[in-house]
Amino acid sequence: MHDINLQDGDVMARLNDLAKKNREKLKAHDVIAINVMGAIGSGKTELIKAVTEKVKGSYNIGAVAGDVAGTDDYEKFREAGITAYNLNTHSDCHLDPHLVDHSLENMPLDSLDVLFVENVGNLVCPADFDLGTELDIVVISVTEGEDMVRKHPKIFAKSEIVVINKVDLADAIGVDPEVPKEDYYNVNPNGQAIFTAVPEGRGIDELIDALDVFET
Amino acid sequence: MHEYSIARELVETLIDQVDEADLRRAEVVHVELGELRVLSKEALSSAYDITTQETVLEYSRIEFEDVELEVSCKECDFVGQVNHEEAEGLHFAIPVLSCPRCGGPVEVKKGNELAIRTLTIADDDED
Ligand SMILES: Nc1nc2c(ncn2[C@@H]2O[C@H](COP(=O)(O)OP(=O)(O)OP(=O)(O)O)[C@@H](O)[C@H]2O)c(=O)[nH]1
Ligand SMILES: [Mg+2]
Ligand SMILES: [Zn+2]
Ligand SMILES: [Zn+2]
Repeated sequence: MHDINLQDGDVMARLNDLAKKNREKLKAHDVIAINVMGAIGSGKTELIKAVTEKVKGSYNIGAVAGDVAGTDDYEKFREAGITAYNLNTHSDCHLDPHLVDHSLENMPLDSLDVLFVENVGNLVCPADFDLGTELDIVVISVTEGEDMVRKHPKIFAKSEIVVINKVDLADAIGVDPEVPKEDYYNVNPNGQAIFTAVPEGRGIDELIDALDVFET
Repeated sequence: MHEYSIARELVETLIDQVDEADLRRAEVVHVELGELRVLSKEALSSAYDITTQETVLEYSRIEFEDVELEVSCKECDFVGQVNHEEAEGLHFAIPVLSCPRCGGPVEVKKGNELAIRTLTIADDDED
């Protein structure tokens, strides 16, 4: 038996090249893309809509609705006046840069300033794939319980902005939002955790500040 | 579960860079796996086995080599491994993404690896 070396053994090389191409394409069209990851039903779509509502006077916003199946989020974006593209992964648990490339081909990039890419609701898999976006954020909500960060530490360790949503429901369901926040700061002391409640508009300005792409 | 798409990338990488004659004699694919990867080793191994069924790689298997997280500090000159937080109820320690010396923000140097380091193949006379 003997060992042979590969010239480039990086298994992610092809996907990372695609991510790089997406990044270059976005840059060439002056579009800032934000990968919105997070738990299923945590409020990704509602938060994107809430942020857009506040900035749409000065910025053109687009959104890619990444879902395993269906057009629900796509329709919600459209109804909110957001230029949207529906991206179904069929069985895949995450978006990959190849799928994002398809979306970019179908979006009017020249007329957009910021593009939200809503990832598939999942706290595990999306973390393994660079999409070519400028910024990656993670959304969880208090309704998933206090231990979300402990159960999925890696995606949080990698994310510089974490939104803890639905804090309006915290008391009613007996979940302390400080717990996931502390857990997050334990694994990522230099990150930023933001409490939000979409129905009350709480935390949306803070999120806009943290994203650091909108001049307000 | 995205181990099947990763297994496909792994096979593509091998087919791309290794002669078919060597692929036929492949025994062990040594894969470096960074600490920040969320893949399951068990799931990737079985995805690989299923993906390679009835192909030249049918008799090969994956062996993993863990790569620990290594960072460099953006505020001081620290380069090295980070501290780990022991979480209750978890069987593994969680890496803390900050400088263990000054607490500053860090850049990840190692820990995102997912790469084939080497391929062990049988010699001709062993066939
Ligand atoms: N009370 C409360 N409900 C919220 C909040 N944010 C979202 N919701 C509700 O939670 C449900 C899910 O919100 P979405 O924005 O669709 O969540 P999502 O993360 O996009 O869901 P998927 O795309 O299916 O993973 C909807 O019924 C929202 O109205 C919040 O801050 N407070
Ligand atoms: Mg949604
Ligand atoms: Zn997966
Ligand atoms: Zn330091």
